[in-house]
Amino acid sequence: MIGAAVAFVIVAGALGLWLVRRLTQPSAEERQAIALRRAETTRSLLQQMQSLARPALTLIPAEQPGFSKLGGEPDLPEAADWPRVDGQPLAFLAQLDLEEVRAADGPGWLPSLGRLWAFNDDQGYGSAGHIHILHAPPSAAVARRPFPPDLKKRLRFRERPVGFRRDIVAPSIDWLGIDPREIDIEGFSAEELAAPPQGPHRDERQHRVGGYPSEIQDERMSITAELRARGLALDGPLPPDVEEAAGEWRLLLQIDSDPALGMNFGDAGRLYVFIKEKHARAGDFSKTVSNWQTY
Amino acid sequence: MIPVWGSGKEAIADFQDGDYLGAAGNGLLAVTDVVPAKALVGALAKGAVLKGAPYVWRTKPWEKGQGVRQWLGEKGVVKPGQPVHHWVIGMEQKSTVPDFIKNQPIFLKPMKDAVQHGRVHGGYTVNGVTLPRYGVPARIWYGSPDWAKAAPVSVGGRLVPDDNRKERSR
Repeated sequence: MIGAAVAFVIVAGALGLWLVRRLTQPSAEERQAIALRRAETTRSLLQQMQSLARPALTLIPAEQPGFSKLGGEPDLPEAADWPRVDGQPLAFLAQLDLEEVRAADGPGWLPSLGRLWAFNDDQGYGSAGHIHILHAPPSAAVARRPFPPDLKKRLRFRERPVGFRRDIVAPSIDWLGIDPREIDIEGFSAEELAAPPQGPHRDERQHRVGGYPSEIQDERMSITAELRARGLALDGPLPPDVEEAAGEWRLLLQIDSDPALGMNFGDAGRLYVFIKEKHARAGDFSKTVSNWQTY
Repeated sequence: MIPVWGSGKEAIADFQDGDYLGAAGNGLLAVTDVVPAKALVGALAKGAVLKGAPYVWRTKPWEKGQGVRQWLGEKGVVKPGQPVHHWVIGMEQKSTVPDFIKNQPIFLKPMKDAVQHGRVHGGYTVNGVTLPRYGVPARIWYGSPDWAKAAPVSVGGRLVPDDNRKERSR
């Protein structure tokens, strides 16, 4: 008796679920409209990826070592202190000679002279300034600065002098803020899908200056940068002018986890530094915003 | 959960008999009883098909973590902006396990938000306040999918001898 009752409930439940799904299913016309909308969104996305593509420099092992490098001990201006947060020294990530960046046909919005240093506070993820950028004019005398004795060993990265390879990088669907559910690539050929510049991807380490970020997670990092710069919560209501202001942010630097250098940010994560184009052009690197994503 | 018990029991029996191949097969069946088998098989098949696809945006799904996260978004499994966490097999372990295995859906856990995901990996700052990294129990709880939490409870619970049932059958 109990078994029959249970079987009845199961069958009735299954029938009810089937009925609900059947009734809520879009009609043939609605399905066609959805398919058309998705195809149009995908076509528009492909066009945006092509039209908004930007040059970027991928940091590759240098053939002839110069000033620019990843890891190791930095060559800092004599007057500069090793950046610290709450008394703890930060991890040195990279130093760049902007003259070398310009010579490699890097982003035009970066000054053609000067030097940059990037330090990471691995306890500060989630904050706007966990990556500290130091900037100095080319005239500033620099000298090799040894690691502070209190810098943890896991934050002492191995050195790799870098050169630059110019790539063209297209914005991702995350950067463009397109919902992946609104994309349908079924009706597009491989050639059409491969038409936007693909930039560096696959197994290559994604150390980069300029272009667009290679996101790991689904996040509009330009919006995040604008909100963080304003000190606003990321989960709050979006002020109406944020969308437009977010368009001014440029990727200054992207540093990938790199086992060869001993770099691992979270679980094979990446670090990103953004700057507004007007600030970069003015040589004001005090207004950068950093981000971190991991698997 | 009865099929789980059946396959699980068979797997244990095979293991005790030294039939490790049979144990592995029945163990896999026990897992597929917990994870909807169709979803698992479908996901693996899809992975195999897409692995050969010429190009899907930045990268091929399954070959890279961001590719599979995007695919999960397309399928509505994760919402826009929702982070996805790789549990058990970290992505930094590049040499030991191929990416197309690490990126299968059974090894992924959609997280509530960036804060929860960040705190599984380390400290995370929200509105100027640094929240500490989760302790090990919280990391396991938040960082593992529901099926992985349910499976040991389901299988383990059924391994415990049911003395009451024996009493009732007498």
